[in-house]
Amino acid sequence: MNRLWQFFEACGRFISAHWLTLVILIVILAGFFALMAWRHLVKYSLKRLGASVLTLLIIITVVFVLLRNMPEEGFIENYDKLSKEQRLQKLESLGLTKPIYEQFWNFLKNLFRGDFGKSTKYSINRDVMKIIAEKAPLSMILGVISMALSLVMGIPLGAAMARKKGKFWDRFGTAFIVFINAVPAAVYYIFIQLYGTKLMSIDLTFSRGDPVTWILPIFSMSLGSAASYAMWLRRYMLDEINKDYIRLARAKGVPGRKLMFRHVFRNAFVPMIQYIPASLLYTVAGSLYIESLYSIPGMGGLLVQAIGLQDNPLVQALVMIYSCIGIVGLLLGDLLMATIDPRINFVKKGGVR
Amino acid sequence: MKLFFEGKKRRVEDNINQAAKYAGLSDEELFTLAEFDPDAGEKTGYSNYSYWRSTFRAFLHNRLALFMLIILTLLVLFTFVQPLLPDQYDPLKVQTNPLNNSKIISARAPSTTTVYMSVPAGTMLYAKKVDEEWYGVRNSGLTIQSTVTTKGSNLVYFTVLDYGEEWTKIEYEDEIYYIKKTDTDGALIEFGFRKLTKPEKLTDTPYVTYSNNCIALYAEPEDISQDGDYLYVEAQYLDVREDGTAVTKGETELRDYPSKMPFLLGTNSAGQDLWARIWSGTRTSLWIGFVVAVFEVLIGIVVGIIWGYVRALDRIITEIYNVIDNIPTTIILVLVSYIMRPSISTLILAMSLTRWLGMARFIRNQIIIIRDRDYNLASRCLGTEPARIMVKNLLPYLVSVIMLRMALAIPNAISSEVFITYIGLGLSVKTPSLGNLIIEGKRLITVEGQQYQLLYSSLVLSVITISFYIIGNAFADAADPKNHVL
Amino acid sequence: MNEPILSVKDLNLKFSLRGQTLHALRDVCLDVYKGESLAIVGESGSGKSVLTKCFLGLNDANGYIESGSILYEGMDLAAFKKESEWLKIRGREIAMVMQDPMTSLNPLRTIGAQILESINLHQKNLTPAQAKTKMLDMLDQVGIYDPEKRAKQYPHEFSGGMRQRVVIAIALACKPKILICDEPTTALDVTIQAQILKLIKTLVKESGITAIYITHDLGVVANVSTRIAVMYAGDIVEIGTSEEIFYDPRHPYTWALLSSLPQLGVKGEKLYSIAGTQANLFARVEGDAFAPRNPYALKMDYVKRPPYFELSPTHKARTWLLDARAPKVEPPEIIRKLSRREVDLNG
Repeated sequence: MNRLWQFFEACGRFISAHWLTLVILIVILAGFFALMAWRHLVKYSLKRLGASVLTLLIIITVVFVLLRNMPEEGFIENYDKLSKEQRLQKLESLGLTKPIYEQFWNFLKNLFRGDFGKSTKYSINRDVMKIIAEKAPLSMILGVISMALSLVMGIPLGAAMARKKGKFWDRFGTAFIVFINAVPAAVYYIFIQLYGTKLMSIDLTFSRGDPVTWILPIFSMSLGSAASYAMWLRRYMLDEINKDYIRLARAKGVPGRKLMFRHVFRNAFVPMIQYIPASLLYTVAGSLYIESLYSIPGMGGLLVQAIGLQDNPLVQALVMIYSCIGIVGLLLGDLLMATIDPRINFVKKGGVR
Repeated sequence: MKLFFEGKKRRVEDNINQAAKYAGLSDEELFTLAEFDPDAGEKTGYSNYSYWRSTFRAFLHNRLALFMLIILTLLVLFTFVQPLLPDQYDPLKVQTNPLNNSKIISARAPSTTTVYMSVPAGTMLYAKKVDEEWYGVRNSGLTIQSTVTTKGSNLVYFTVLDYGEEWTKIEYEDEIYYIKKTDTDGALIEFGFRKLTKPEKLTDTPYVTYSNNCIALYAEPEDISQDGDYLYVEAQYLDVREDGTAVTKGETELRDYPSKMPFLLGTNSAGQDLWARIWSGTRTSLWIGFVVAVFEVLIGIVVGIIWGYVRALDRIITEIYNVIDNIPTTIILVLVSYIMRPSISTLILAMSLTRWLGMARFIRNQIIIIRDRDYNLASRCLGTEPARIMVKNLLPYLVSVIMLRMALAIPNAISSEVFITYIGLGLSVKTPSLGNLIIEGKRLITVEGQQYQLLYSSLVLSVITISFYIIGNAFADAADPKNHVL
Repeated sequence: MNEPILSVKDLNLKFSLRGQTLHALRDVCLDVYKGESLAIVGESGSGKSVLTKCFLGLNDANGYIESGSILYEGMDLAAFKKESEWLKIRGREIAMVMQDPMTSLNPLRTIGAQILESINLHQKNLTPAQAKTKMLDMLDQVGIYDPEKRAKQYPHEFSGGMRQRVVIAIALACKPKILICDEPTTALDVTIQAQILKLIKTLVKESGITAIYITHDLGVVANVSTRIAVMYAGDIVEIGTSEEIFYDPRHPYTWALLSSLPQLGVKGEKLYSIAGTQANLFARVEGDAFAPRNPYALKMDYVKRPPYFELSPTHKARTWLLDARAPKVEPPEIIRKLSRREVDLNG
C-alpha cells in the first residue's frame, strides 16, 4: 500500500509539474497512434484534436474573462486588513490594472510555463500548482481503485441483466440503475456515510493510515459508474442479441455461453470503450462530493473549499484542469473507438458524433 | 379506456357474427357461394392502428409507471395545494414560543408544539379563555396529584378516578376511597375519608400544602407557569367553572401555545417549520426543473430546425456543437454559479446552457431523416407539402421526446441543484429548495436525534426524482412504435 | 417418393404478447423428403419463417409449441427444451441462410474468422491449418475471388451479394443435411438475385442437401423448387409438386397468388391483387381464415374449417370447393391459361 502510495504521489507531482508537456505528449502519441493505424484515421484524429484544442482555448478564454469580472477581493489575500492604497498597489503588482488583452496575453504566457498564479485565501501566496500537486495523488489512487471496482461491479451486472432479461438480476439491476440515476448522488452518499460508518463503527472521516476508512468512499464513488456501465452494457447487449448475425450464429450452432461472450458481449463492449477514458479521468480527478464528505485531502475537496473561500486563482486552475480532463477523456475515447471499430467511416463522418 | 378496446372487439365479433349467420343452414345451402364484400377483408386486418392510442395503451400496461404517475400527480398537486390549506406555517418564519419568545429549534416531529407536561384527570387549573377552542391555564395550586405522602415520607400512588365539588374519588390497591375536601391539616393517615381544604384566594395558594403526616393532595406544580405565563389547553379537555378555575376532564397535555396545526415534521435548526419548508422547497425545485425543461425544448427546437433546414449553417452549428459538447457539464454549472449571484435564475441559466444540445441534435437528425428518407421523398413526389410531412412524421416523435426530456429534466435539475448547493453556490436558506434542505439536513447528521431533518427531505426528493425518471422512461418506451402491440 | 427426412405433424405454435395470444401456426402438417427442394410460399406474416425457425429452436422466447411434433431422425424437435439438445441440430443437421446479408454477419469479426467458427464447431478433428484451408476452399466455392485476402476483411468491405455468398459459405461449412433459405434474395439487387439462386441451387445439388426455401416470390419458386407448400395465416392451404401447383392449382388463395404474378398479366389488363389484409391471428379464427378475402367463399367456409382434400398422392388442398357437395367453380381466366401452359413462367 505504502509503495503504491509513493508511486501515485510521484505521479501526481510529475503531472502537475509537467502538465503541458504531458498534454503535448498525448497529442503526439495520439498522432503517432493514428499514423500507425490507417491513413484516414490520421485525418480524423487531427480534426478531432483540432476541435479539442479549440475547445480548450475557448474554455480558457471564457474562464479568464469571467473571473476578471469577479469582485477584486478574490484576488488579494487579507483584503479586509489592507488600506485602499495597499489594495491598489497589490492589484498593480498582480497586473490586474492593465488592459484586459494585455492581461490575457500574460495569463496565456504564464499558463504555458505551468504558472497558474498564487493562492490568495486557501494557503496564502503558495503556488496554486503546488497545492494541487499535493492533493492530486490521493485523488488518483482512490479514483483508480473505485474505477476498477465499478467495472468489476457494473460489467457482470450488465451482462447478467442482458442474459436473463426479466429475471431476478435484471429486476435488481434495473432498480439499482433507476435509483442511482434518479436520486442525486449527494443524497445517497450522505446516507451511505451515515449508516455505513455506524455499521462498521468507524469515524465519519477518512484517515489515510486506516484502510477500513477507505472502503466507504471507494464504494460510494464506484456506484455511479457501475450503474451506468451496467445500464449501457445491458442496452447494447440487448441491441446486439436482436441482430440478425446473432441469429445466424445461433443457427449455425454456436453454444449459448460462447455466443454471449464471443459475439454479443464483445460487440456490445465496443461502443462502451468510448466512454471509459473519460470516466477513468473523471474518477481519477476525484469526486467533489466524496472528498469533502469524508474530508479526504484530494483535488475534489479542494475545489469545494476554494469556492467557499472565494480563492479565485485556485478555482480558476481547478476549473481548467477539470475541463482539460474532460476534453482529453473524450478525445482519447473517440480515438480508441476509431482504432477498435473497423466500421467507422471517417471520411463521411465529419462533424456530429 | 373503453374506447380503446372497442375497435378490436368489433373486428372479432364480425367474424363470429358471420359464422353465426350461416350456422343454422342446411348442407345444401352451406355449399353455395357466400356474398363477397371486398371491404370485409380489410376489416380483418390491422387497420385501426393509431399511434397515440397505442402509446397510451402501452403506457397503461406499465403498472409501476402508472402507480408512480398517480403518486407523483398527487404529490405535485399537493405541493401547490399545501399553502392554501388552513393553518399552514410560513416556511421562512422562525417559530418562537410565545411564553418566553425563545426559538423552537430542532423540535422533534410529530406535533412539536412542545408539550410541557401531561396532567391527570381532575387537575385544577386557573383558566383564561383565549378563543373558542383554547384556554390559557395557570397553576391553581389546587391540583390533586396522584401521589400521596404518608407518614415517614413514604410515597403511595393512587389513581384519581373522579373529581367533584366536595369529594375526590380515588383508587388505591383495588379499593375505592373518597377524600373529602374540607380539611387537610392533621388529617388521619388511615385510609377512609380524608379532608381537603380549599384556600381562600387562588393566587395565594402555596404550591405544596401538606404536612408530613398528611396526604399531599395539592400538586407539586413543577414548573407550570412559574413565571406567571400561561400554558395552553384545548377547551374540550377542560371543565371550566365560573370562579375562573377549571378541572381537566382526562389525561391532558399542557402545551406551549395554541395551534391547530402541530409541526408535522418538526422544526429545523433555525426554528422554521420543516413541513412548510419541504413543500415550499419542492415547489422551487419543480419550478426550476420545469423552466429548464421549457428552455431546453424551446432552444432545442429552434436551433435544431435551423441546424437541420439551413444547409449553409450546418457546418458552423456542428462545430459549435462539438465545442460545447466537449466541455464537462459540471464545470459549466460550477463556473456560472461561481461567477453569478446565487439565485433561481442563475441556476436556471447554468443548467439551460448545455441541456438544449441533445434536443437540438435530435431535431436536426430527425429533420435530415425526414428530408432524405425514401418514403418521405416518395410522399413529397406525390405532392405532400413538406410542412405536412413534418407534422405527420416529426410530431409524434417530438411530443414523446419532449415528454421524456421534460420528465428527465426535473430529476436532473434537482440533482444539479443539490450539487451546486453542496459546493456552497446554491440558493440561500431564504429560498427553500430541496437542495438546501438536503444540505441543511446533512449538517445535522452527526447530531443524535436530528437525522429526521435529512430523512424527510430526502424521502420527498427521492419520490419525486424516481417517479419522474420512471415515468419518463416508461413513456419513451411506450412512444416507441416498436413496442406497440395490437 | 422416399422417406421423409423431416416430418411435421399438427404443429400448433402460439406467441404470447403482452397478455394477448397470437396463434401463429395452426395445425401445420408437412413432410420434407430427402434431397428435394421444397418451397414454402405465402405473404408476409403467414407463418412461413416461424415454421422453419421451429426446426432450429430459434423462435423468440415468448413463442411456445402448444401441440404437435417435428420428427427428425427419430427425435422430436418440438419436445426440445434445452439448449444442449438444440446444439446437436443447429448447423450440424439443419443450417440456415437469412434474408438480409447486410446484417447477418458480425461486423466486428473478419469474414474468415466467422467461417472458421462454423467449421471448428462442427468438424472438431481438423487442425488449425486444415480448417483454414477448408475455409479458403469454402470462400472459393461460393465464388469469392482472392479468398486469402478477402478472408482478412470485415463485412463492411463486402457488397450485399458478396455477403450473401459468405453467409451461404458459413451455412454450408457446417455440413448440414437440410439447408433453410429464408428469403435469400429479397434484400438483394435483381441482377444479383439470379446469381445467388443459381449458386445455392448448384451447391445444394452437388452436396445432396435437402433445401427448404421460404419466399413470397413465386418467380424464385418456379426457378428452384421441386415441391411447393402454400401457407396462409399459419396454415398450409395447398401443397403439391411445382407442376401441380402452377398448372393445376385448386385453392382460391393459390389462384390469387398466381394471378398476382406480373409475368402472367395480360397487356392492358389490370394486375390482380388480393383484396384486404391477412386475418388477425390474435383473434379466434372461425372456419377458413381466407374466407373474408375470398370471392369464391362458400357459406360453409365461414362455419367450419375445411379438411385436406387429396387430389393426388402428392397434391392436397384445404378448401370446401373440393367437396363433392360444392358447386363447380371455374378458376379465373389467368389460371386457366396457365394450366393450358400458355404462359412461360420464366419469361
